[in-house]
Amino acid sequence: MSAPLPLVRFDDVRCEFEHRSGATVHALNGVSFDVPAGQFVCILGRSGHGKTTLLRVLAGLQATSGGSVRVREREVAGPGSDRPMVFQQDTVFPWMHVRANVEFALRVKGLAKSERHAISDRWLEAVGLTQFAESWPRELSGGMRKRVALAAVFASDADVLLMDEPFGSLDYFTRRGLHDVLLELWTAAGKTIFFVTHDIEESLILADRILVMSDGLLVEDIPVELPRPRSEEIRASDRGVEITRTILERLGVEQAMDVSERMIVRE
Amino acid sequence: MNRIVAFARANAVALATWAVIIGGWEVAAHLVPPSQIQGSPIVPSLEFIWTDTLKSLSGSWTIHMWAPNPAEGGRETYLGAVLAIGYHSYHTLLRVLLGLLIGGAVGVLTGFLVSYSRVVRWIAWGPLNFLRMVPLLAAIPLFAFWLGANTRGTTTFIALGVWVLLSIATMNAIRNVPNYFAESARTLGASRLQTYLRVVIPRALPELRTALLLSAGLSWSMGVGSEYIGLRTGLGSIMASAEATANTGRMILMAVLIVGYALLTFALLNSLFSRMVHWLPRQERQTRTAAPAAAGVGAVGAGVAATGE
Repeated sequence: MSAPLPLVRFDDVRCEFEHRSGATVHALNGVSFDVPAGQFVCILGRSGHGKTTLLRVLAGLQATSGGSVRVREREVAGPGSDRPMVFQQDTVFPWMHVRANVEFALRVKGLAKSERHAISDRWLEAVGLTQFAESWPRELSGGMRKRVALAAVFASDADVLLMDEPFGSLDYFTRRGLHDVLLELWTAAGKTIFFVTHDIEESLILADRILVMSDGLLVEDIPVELPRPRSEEIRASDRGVEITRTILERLGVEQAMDVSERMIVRE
Repeated sequence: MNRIVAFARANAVALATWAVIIGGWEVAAHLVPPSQIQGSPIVPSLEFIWTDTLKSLSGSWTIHMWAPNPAEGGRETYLGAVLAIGYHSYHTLLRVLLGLLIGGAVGVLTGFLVSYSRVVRWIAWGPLNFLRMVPLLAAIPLFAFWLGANTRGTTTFIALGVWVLLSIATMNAIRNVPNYFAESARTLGASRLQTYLRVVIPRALPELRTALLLSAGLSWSMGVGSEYIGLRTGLGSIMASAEATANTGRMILMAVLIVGYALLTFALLNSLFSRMVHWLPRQERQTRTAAPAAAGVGAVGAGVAATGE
């Protein structure tokens, strides 16, 4: 019996840019992997090593130089409603009320108002913003606007959700709160999520699987079998420390061993 | 009373500045000797402007009703002066507001089309840039020759100037919209047209306020300039007659009136625009208003000065 088809397939994907100096930059250098439906995938790596390019290629916002990207066996040829993205920047539309933001994908899809309202009510409640449905984004905090962005992509009911360091600009405590919100939404909706981050702790909290990128290459594909919810104790378990050590080694951090040992001592 | 005191305290510096300007003006009016041409004052006092100058404007009320016509032996009256100001203001306002409205609407639409369509961009980019470089006030005689020294010619001339300014400004405003807004909309399933209409244009609107207020200033400069050079009605034509008779008081009175109308235009446009971009944070709304308003008044001032030379 053959294995089920993956939801997302990267096959030898390459992405090259011409630098002003004339040199060719290999942002993606032959990346291949499969992702089944429902998985929470974190893409981890240093800045400028291909994480965001990989996500933009999957979003259809960036053309490839070679290879193929497929979602449900269909070649990605441009942006589409089946792969909405939460950006690092604040992309909540400030000229629309919170509800209109959450309903944006539904509106462009042509859903009736009553249908849109029913869906947005559900997702606004899920992110704890029911009483702010008719507010303007300017009346919300940065963390609340990120919740609006999350509600908007989940409300679109797409199979694959893309997130490019969505909480990168927020303080630690707000970020931790949003991790919980995101995991609740993901558990309830069962979507496949690609989440770019450079924060190892964040990836340990969120991911089923961590793809480590370095120099445009996929250098490590790490399954994270840690039980959820992932408290500090669980993240500092033997497996958690082993994952952290692997990531640091793969990213070429010289003090990898020292850091890992510190975590063991804390445990 | 308390309100007046509070206002004076809050605006003490501004009030003091105006007191110095007006006081200095009055001192100059009494120190500078009158011109040898018709004995008119080079620096007229406020009292002179308020009495002799204002009353003499009744000579510009040429309709044979409600007030005597000094040109036909009638006496100068304040009623005649007010009627004359109203009559000529009506003509100027009609030309300026109509030109602003037509030029503004067509300009913004052109900017949107040029930014959206590559074909339209190929067609319009060259002519728009050429027109942007043309010194508009120097083109007044050409427009008067083509379309006549009348309301139609002046309105068309103003509309052309506003059209060029707002087309270019709209294109720049669209270009300045952060790309991630459009990308976010595209990944949420919006088509290119939906993205443009629902995301790019609304996000560009705040930038357009600057250009719109500047174009209001430009309209007043162009309108007064046109009237000054070739028309027999409008505030600009009164300015021209004031120059012919070395009537400095009338020049100043017209300049103050034009700046007043221009400020009212700004206030009106600003209020309308504030309603359109009420979603902006308050601080950002205020920041975006102050600079263009100042620049717009500057443009009017430059226009008035140019016509007065």
